[in-house]
Amino acid sequence: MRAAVLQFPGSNCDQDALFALRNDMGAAAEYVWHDETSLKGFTAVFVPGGFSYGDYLRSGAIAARSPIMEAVKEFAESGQPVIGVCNGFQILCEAGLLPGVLMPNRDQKFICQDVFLRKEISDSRWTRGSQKVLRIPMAHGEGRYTASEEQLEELKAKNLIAFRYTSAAGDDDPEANVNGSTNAIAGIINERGNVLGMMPHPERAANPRFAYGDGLQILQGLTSE
Amino acid sequence: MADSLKKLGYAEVEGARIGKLIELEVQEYSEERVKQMCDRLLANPVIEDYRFEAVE
Repeated sequence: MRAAVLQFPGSNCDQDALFALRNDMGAAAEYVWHDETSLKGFTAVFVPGGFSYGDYLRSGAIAARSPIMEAVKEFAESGQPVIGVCNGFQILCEAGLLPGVLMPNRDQKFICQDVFLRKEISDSRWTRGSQKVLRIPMAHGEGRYTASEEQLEELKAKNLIAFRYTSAAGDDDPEANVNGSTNAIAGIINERGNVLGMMPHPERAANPRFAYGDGLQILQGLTSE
Repeated sequence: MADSLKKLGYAEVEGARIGKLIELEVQEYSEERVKQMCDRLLANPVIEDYRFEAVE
């Protein structure tokens, strides 16, 4: 694997992502600046978190229209893996690579805490072989996933909801849905399954020396089929 | 917002909303091109509606 970690003005999880890919996964990874127009030579793309362009207009909106995102669209169409985390998820939604939008958290507060995610699909490259419930940190002010009625129906019908916020035991629990996402959605994939967007940060929990390294199980999706 | 106005004595206020106002300066006005700008960047159709007007 050779992964591209995109950098936009205001990205701030790019270093975490590069570290996780290089040190925790032992993979080759390089930064790619937003002005670039090619992803030649890369086999995976990581769109990191942060506050690209200061969240002006809407979170992820400006970054989604940058030159590198045209290359990411082509890359995704070719079936290669793309993960967007936090602001990266917002960017993928704004770019039209994933449906829906991330709204300000229900309680209007920035939330920084560990959450439990239940994997909702087991035959995806991102979840195959992973535990049923993963503990992953989140840190965002705008992570309340929502989408149009038709988009939500399609996500359910086509089994595209990858992760939901649940209790530690993996049970549905309104209290666990801390940002108020529709249907407790924490992460979704595209129809082809090669693009994953999620609000919690697997790259921040990918080191086996931590008490938990569950994020690594998700990042493995960048290398598998 | 509506509550605050009511507390100030404006009992007639039934609702209030805050929206976004974007002012564009263009060399030449084209309704079609401004609509494109709204659809391609300025508004997100999942959560937003828009309307625009041209002023001199």
